[in-house]
Amino acid sequence: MWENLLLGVATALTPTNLLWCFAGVVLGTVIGLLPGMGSATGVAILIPLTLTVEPVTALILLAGIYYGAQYGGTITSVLLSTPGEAASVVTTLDGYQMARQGRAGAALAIAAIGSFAAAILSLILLAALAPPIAQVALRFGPPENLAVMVLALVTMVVLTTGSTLRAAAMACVGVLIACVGIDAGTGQARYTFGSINLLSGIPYVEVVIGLFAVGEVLHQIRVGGARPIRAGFRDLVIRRSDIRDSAGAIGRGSLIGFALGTLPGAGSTLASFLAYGLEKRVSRNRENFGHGAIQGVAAPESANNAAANANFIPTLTLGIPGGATTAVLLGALTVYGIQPGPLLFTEQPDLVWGLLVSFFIGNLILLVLNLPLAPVFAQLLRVPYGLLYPLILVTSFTGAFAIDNNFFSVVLVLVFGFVGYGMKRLDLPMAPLVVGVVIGGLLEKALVQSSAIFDGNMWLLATQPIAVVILLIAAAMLTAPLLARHRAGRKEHADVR
Amino acid sequence: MSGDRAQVWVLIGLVVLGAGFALSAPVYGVVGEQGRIGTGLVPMVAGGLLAVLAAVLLRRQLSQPVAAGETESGTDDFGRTAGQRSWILRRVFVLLPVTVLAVPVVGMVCAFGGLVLVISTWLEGRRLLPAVAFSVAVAGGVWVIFAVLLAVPLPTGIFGF
Repeated sequence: MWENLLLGVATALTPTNLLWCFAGVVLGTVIGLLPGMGSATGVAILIPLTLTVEPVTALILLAGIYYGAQYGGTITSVLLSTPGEAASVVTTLDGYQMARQGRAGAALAIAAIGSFAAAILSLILLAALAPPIAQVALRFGPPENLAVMVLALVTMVVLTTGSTLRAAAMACVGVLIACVGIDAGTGQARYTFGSINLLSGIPYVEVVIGLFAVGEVLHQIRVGGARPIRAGFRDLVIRRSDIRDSAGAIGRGSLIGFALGTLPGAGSTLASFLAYGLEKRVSRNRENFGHGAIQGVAAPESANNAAANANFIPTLTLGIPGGATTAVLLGALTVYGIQPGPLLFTEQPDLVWGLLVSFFIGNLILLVLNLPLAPVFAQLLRVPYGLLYPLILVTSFTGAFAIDNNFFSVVLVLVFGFVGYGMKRLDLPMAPLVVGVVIGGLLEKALVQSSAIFDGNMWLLATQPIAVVILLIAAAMLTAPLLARHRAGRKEHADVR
Repeated sequence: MSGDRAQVWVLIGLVVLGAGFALSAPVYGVVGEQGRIGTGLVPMVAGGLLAVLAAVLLRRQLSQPVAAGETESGTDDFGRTAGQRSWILRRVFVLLPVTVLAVPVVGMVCAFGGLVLVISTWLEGRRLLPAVAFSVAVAGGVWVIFAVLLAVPLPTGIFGF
């Protein structure tokens, strides 16, 4: 491992990669700040700009955007009570209250410190756990891959905040979108309606740009903008007691975030909610939660950063996205001609370890930049949305065209932009749809291959112990909430009697 | 359309979409040679599941008491009323497909430069000169980044760029 780490350090510390890492985290922070832009959108529309550089450099930039956007989202959560990222929603509860009490700077500073601490902890765990997981995954055949895909879909559906049924329906829509095009198993065209453009399927980067960028712009136009609370340089003072009070929350948040982030399909939103919930229970300061408790900022921010890093475990080792943004990053890998999966660790160690080490460097840059410069970044919130959204639209459509130099991509972005607006309007979750689109094709491929191995008798799947264990975990995840609800209902019934 | 009515129509749409996939999938063959998975199995299962889930959601939606029509009240912090925002949104909904359709005719840079100009002047009420300057800057930026630096062959139209 040390050899690989040194290789990663050597890769990440080249002047070019350092520069792109810096650019990535700064761009990410700006993207996270802008209404209508999140990490998934930012990564998706910037993929075309990375086509001329080395894949490792491109990935370092895109990963920088990913965790930079998490922090940018925190700034809007604290100053506007409008999260730039879903993972920062819970930060609004106490972060905004702190800002109203004139402690915006302390909230932003503890978020930066918590994120950095979480990044370091998760990087150590990531470096320690990813290679052995990749080794285990190397032994996976189609049945095991099939089970992992099922687990990823179930995790995404169960852990999506809001209605599970809606999430499941959207995951189905995603799988159906993935069914369009030539079937990998038989070479037969499906649902193409004679269109040559649809033969290669509906590319998910375009789906993501449409849903997240154009759809969000339309949504923002409808809901209107809010003016931020001013945070000056003097507000940035963080007391020693703040750090002391937050240390436990940061540790617990980081561990929860990492544990959840390693699950394929889990994303980082739930991690932030769970970390906040746990902190609210265990904190001695619990009555202050919702009224500006600093732990209410530290815990979810640490959790979402740790989860964002841990999301790379399923993404890199299994080729299964941890969430919506890593789904787009998987798309980027295929655009660069790289096959994600366990072989990546043995075939391209410089890429994997260079990327992992860049997380550390990127988070260090974020800390150094954001501790003193948060108020400067916050000024971006004052740019009228009327100036921003035409820019976002132009970048989205032109960026989509640049991926394949195909006009059909522009049409797809338009269509999915309208779909995304409708989904936002009707509160339908987008992440399960995106993960469905990404996993749908892989799931079908694993299913067809397993069927071929078992000569059509899928019951033989039960003879594969690893696959069975993974499927049982998926089944438990699906049924546990139902059982818990049933038990709670019975208890309530008994209490009434 | 109120949120409730829109929910109902979307859920009906999802039921139809799911059922459509489920019913049409057998055309591709659900079971292949020697009982192996056929091309139509995944769309049939996913479509069927979608139809069932959407039907359950629809039933729940219909059994809920009808909420009062959704009202987009309030002026945002940039001084726009809900009516003004809705007015802009409706026009953006029309402008986007028009712009996309204009790409093969006038080229990508001109079409989207034009979109920015129309949004800036007509929808955002900026004065002509700053709006033109902004649009030219955006179009120029797109051209430099994509066409020059990244060598992306952006669609050109009658103007040749």
